[in-house]
Amino acid sequence: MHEAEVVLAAELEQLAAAGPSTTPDWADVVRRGRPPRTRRHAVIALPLVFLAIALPAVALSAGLRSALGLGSRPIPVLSRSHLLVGAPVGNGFYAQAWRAPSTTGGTCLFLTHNRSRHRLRPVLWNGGGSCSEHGGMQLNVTTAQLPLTPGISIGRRAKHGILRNWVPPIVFGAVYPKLHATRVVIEWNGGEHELALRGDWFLGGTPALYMPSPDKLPFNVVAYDAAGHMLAHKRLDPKILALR
Amino acid sequence: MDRRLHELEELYRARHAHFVRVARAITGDPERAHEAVQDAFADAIRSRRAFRGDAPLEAWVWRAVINAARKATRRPLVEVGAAQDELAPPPAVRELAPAVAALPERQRLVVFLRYYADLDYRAIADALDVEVGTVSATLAAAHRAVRQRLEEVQADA
Repeated sequence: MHEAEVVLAAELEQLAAAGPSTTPDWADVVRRGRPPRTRRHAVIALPLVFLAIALPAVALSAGLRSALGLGSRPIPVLSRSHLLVGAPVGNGFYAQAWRAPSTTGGTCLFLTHNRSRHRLRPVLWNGGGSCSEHGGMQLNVTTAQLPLTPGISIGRRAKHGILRNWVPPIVFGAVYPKLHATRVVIEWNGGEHELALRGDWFLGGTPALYMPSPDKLPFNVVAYDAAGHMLAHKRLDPKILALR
Repeated sequence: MDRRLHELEELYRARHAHFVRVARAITGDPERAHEAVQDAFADAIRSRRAFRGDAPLEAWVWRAVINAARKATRRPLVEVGAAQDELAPPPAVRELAPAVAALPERQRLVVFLRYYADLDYRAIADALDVEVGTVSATLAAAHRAVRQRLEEVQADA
């Protein structure tokens, strides 16, 4: 090599070393490398935060369970799912809440989302939820003192992701049966969004819940009776909405 | 775990910094570079059974990384200003970066693979699917072009 090129080569190596380094993440590579169907579910499921306020079990999506090697944990028997409530949640998505027996003889309460308004029995668990290992599980744990138990499922909008694939935040929960609520609404400073109410279960979603500006706070889930009287309300944690 | 998957993991762990460095040189953005490397290895995992073994595995992966980085470069960023926290390059190499950036793509790639990835001529030839002599000639041309550009800058100063 020419002497000038030796100097040049040394400087090029210095230039190469000037950039910041990043941390290797082989687990992420393996997740991305799974067949497309599995990968899509994992990508959707991983960022989910599901606040199972009403449920003591750890709330993990099926994809995350699989990624963490928790395959032996109970999961829903999807073919025996029973729809609790479903609703559009924005961005072309619909969400559903289901009850189903678990694979280990327990009970599951879980969410799904898809682009179909038809509430067909799910073939995939791609939302938040929880299962008990054995026996029945009290699904609606509301009481007179705790009349509303909203949970929220939030998927982080990927920085370089395709917006069309982003599922807006989903609010799901139960209302105390003796209140005889006829309407459940999310209200915030300057807006509201009505949730679907079926029996004692409510569900809905809107992009307005995603990382809202402080001037819109607080966000409350409010239950009303047929006469329009407020029966109960529960504030959604702003830190959760802001993904902090 | 199958043997090929294990080899890919070993390669990833051993050479990750080099892959990212080259991808970053191609994309000009650390986040895109990271994504390109992750996606390239994910593609390699999915299509590992198609690897025939007529060239080193690393060369095969390099092709995937280069292609992923090129593809990422064509994709518009969703967020602007994502890479503002980079370290400034040392003063000695400030003039060098634009000189390298001004090279034709093939020359730039060879420079990146030689100096950023520390590949020898044979490995570069495998990665780019060209003859070793072509690598040598391309690198020499790149050296000449960069040197000329630096001389012009110094003359202007």
